[in-house]
Formats: sequence, C-alpha cells, structure tokens
Amino acid sequence: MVLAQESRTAVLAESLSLGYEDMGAVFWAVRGVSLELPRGGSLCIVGESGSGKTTLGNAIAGIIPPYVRTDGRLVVGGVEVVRGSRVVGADRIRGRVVTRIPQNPAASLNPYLRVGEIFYDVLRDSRGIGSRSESRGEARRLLSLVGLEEEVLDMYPHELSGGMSQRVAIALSLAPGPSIVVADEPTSNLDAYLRGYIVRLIGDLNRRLGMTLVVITHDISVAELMCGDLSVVFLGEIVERGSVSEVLRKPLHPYTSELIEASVLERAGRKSGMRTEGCAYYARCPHAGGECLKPPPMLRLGDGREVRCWRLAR
Amino acid sequence: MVGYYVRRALLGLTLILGLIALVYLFVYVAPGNPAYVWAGKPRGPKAAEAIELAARELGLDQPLHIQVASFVCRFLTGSWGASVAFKRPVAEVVLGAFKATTELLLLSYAISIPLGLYLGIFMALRRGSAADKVLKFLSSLLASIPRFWLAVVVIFAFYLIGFQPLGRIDPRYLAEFREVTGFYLLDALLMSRPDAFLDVLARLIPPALIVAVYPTFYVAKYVRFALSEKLYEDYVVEAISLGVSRRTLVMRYSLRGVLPAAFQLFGINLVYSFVDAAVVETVFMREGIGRVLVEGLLRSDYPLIVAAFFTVSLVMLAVNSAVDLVQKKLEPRVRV
Repeated sequence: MVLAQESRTAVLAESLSLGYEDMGAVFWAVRGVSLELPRGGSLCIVGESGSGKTTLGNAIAGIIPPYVRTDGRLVVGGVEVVRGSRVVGADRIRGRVVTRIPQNPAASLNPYLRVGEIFYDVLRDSRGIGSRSESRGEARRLLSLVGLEEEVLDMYPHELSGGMSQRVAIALSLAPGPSIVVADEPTSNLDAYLRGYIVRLIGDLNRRLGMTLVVITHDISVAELMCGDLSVVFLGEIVERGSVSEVLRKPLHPYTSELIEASVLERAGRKSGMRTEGCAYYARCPHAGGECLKPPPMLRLGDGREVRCWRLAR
Repeated sequence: MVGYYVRRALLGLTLILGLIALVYLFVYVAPGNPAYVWAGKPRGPKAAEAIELAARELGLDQPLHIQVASFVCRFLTGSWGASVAFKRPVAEVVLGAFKATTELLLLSYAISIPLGLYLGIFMALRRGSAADKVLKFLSSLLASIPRFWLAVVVIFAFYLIGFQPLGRIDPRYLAEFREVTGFYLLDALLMSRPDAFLDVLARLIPPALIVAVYPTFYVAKYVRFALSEKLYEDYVVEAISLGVSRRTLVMRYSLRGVLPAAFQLFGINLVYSFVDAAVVETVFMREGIGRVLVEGLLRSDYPLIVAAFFTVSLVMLAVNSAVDLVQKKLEPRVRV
C-alpha cells in the first residue's frame, strides 16, 4: 500500500535494512535507515567505503539482486519497492522512474557495442523507440545536454577518455526519462579539472532539469556543490543529517567532523576551498588567520631565500 | 584491416613451409634409409633400382639445406611418395581419408557448436537450480568419459535394436555407388538416391555424436562459468539499471563477451577431435585420416604419416586463423 502523501515523495525509507547472506548468517550492510526525500530534492549520502552507501544507492535505483536480504520499507517514486523481507517493485522503477550514474563509467559501457548501439538498446527497451534514426536523434539530443558531439555515437567505449565516458554515462542515465537519478561516486575516477565539470553537470540535473538527485560519495567536499541535503552514514546507519550548509558549518557528530577534516574542506565555514582574494594557501593552511584574507607579499630573507606568508612578516 | 589479412596469410604460408621442412627432417632422422622409406619399402628384384631412384629423387647426395628446399618444392607440387601400408600414392590415400574425416567432423561441430553454447547459456541463467546441477554433473561426466568406450557402448546399443552403424555405407549400395566428391552424403544426393543418403547419414550420426561429446560439454562448462561471471560485470549491472530487457542483456551484453573465447576453445578442441575421430573411426570401421594415421604408425609408413600430419596441421592452421578472424569480428578491442 502506498499512501497518497507517499506518492508525492521521491524516496521514502522506513527502518530499511539491506544485508547479504554469508555462510548462513546475514551481514547487514544497511541498518534501519529512515529517510525522506521530496520530489525535486537533492540528497548526498556520505560515508567511507564499506559504510553501505552503495548498497543503499543501488536499492534506491532498484538494483536489488536476489541474494540481498531486506527488512523495513522502501518507496521510490510512489512505487513500493521493499516490503519487509520481500522485494516487490524493483522491476517497475528500474530504468523507468529511476536510473543510476555508475561508479566506474569506463567499465559500465558495453565494450562490444558502439555508443550509438548502447543508446539504441536503452531507448528501445525503456521507451519503445524502435527506429534507429529516431534513436539516433534522441541520443544526439541527450549528448548535447552533457556537451558531447554526435561523433561519439560511432565510437567504441575504449576509444573514449575518462571524462567522455562519464559524460556518456550521464547522458545514458537520462535516456529512459527518469524523474530520479542516483549518482554513485560520480567523481571518484576523475582528475581535479574534470571533477569540477562533472559535479556541475550532475548538480544541474537537479537545479536546471528539476530531477530528484541522490548522490553517493565519500568526498564530503563535493556534496555542497550538488546537493541540498546531507546524510552521513557509518557502518550502515545514518549518524547525522541536515542541510549540507548547516552540517558543514557546524558538524555535530564526531564522525562528520572527521570526514570534513579528511577532505580538503577543513575550513568549510568559509569559502569552500575556492581561491580567495587573500593568501593562495588560505583554505588548506592550519595556521590561517584574519590577516591571510589580504594577499601576503613575497618576503626576501637573504641568501636567496624567499617566502610568501604573513606569519613570517610579523 | 587488409594489411592484417595479408600478414595473416604470410604467416600461414611461413608456418606451412616450416612444417614441410620439419616433416622432411622427421623422415631424415628416422631410422633406416630415407630413400628406402620414400620408395615405399620395396622388396624383390627391382628394389635396389627403386631405392636408387628414390635417393636421386630425394637428392640425398646434396647438402641438407638443398635437400630440404627441394623436398619443400616437391611437396608443394603434390609429389608425396607412395604408401607402404596401402600400396597406393600417399596423396590419393590421404585425400580420400581426409574427406571422410571432414564429413564426420563437420557434422560433429554442426551439432557441437549450437548445442554447447545453448547448454552453457541454459545453465548460466539457471545457476543453482536442479536442472543446472544435473547438467553440470553430466557435463563433467561426459567430458571426461573415454570416447572409445562410448563408441563401443553405442555400437552395442545399436546392435541390440538390430542396426550396425559400421563403415560409411551399406555394402549393398557399393556396386552402384560412384565417388564423385568423396563426401558420401553429397555423392548419395548426386546419385539422387534418398535411401542411400539416409543410410550414409544413419552411419554418420552415431560416430559424429560421440566426437561431438567432448567439445560440446567442454565449451558448455566454460560458457556456464564465463557467462555467469559476465552477468555481474559493471556494464551488465549498468544496463540492468537502465531498464534494458533480459533478452538483450543475455544476447548483446553478456554473451558477446563470452563468444570470442568460446570459439577459440572450439578451434583448439579440433585437435582433440582429430584424435577422437581416429579412435572412433577405428571402432566404427570407417575410413578416415585418423585411421590412416594409426595404420601408418603401426607400419612405420613415413610418407603416409608425414602427409597425414601435414594435412591435419594445415586444417588446424586454417581453422584457427578463421577463429581469430571471428574473434576480431566479435571483439572490437582486439587490434589488428
């Protein structure tokens, strides 16, 4: 049974547990998680590897293999997916209501097919687009959303660069026309320059296309650029939640503080790792103080040694 | 791409030349007088003359490298010597036997390739089910059962129902049977005798099935394992998450990754099938390259052995080149 107000919620989990059977015993990767994400909302699930965040993300995307044990309840896009120990609606949401942007895009594209063929398979099976010319037109439109040219359709996945694969994967996740997109570690395999680009692209799915966005990541510093809400998971449980800016400004749980310290975003209360007007090293400097907001001059110390820091100027 | 085919052909040609040279050295180091062997181990009053002729033909008075070169040239022009065991020119014996074996192996693989792939896919998609367990047990059993024993059991089973599938054709057809192509199924059709065709087929199917057993179950086991692993590949899971249908997932996403290796296995298995064919042909009293080899080895009939080995190697070379091309076609990441 799905209640009327539940169908207005994009993702609703009530004491959801997900586990794997191992030698007769069940290992619960996700324990009693409750969360609610309204339509058009965006949520980051942050935690270290092994915290169960990928299992949770996959379940939201309707990927629940037969060997997974379940408990509690999960409703996605108004469809009941998990009811107690039974998986009831995963087939009805997967590739229809919700899609997933994969963790490793290069490995997630069928190496035996050209990109155009992969689009054709997805468009045919999810939206019933049978003609190749129509499929090609739609694929071209989707690629233009991620800033790629039509030529990509004639290439094999191994001919794409890392950033191109990721963009193709994002375009593919849009192909079935989902209202919810789950991005699983979308930036972990990219270099710093591409990371910024992809983060903006994924954030735009929510901000400009109005999709509900769930981002799974270990890197709390990218959360702010993509999501409004943040849930921190540790060993399968949510230990802290709130709006991204609030949690980053004032983390309450020690694990959250640890994650924030671990990321470059040590001084999250200020500008998030951006280049400021002042000292270039400001965001990462453990000694940064008020005067560092002004650019420090280059100090000549004699013997050819020079340094640009306010601490030595004092 | 064209460059690849040219390189491939050149490599094949080099291998063939090397093979013939090796074959010559095989005869050269074999015990006894090569000229005596080459002449077909003649006896009687004209023997000395024949041996001397053979010695001159072989150029035994020349240095070794000249000998090898002239042997290669002779071999390429079809001068393969005479068979001791069959008292006929080697080329004639080997070619006839080769056609018989080809007929057998073609039918074997026409059964084995679709059946092996189908069984493998069937098992992979039902992993852990009762059907999978039974088939998995049967695969292991049948892939390791000795084929000569299977052949004897099959003949005995046919004997019980009153049919003896021995030889290539019922002797009563032989009077009017004309060998045109050497492939009996084809010849029977050319004679427009459906009864003869059915008789040839009935005698061909049991040994073909026995030879098919090994490649079928070997490949089925491989496909089961490889395909079920492929079903967990990132790109398959990703396709699942994008709502791609089950049929597309199996045919275009999982099987595509398994087929190249499966065809390689069929190609490699062909060597074993030649050995199996030799045994099965002997048990079923059929002529064939395997039987020719056995006969030749038993009687130290070197010209026959080298020609038979050469023919088999040539087929292996051709088949494995074809398999490589199939792999290239199926696997875009193989660079040529």
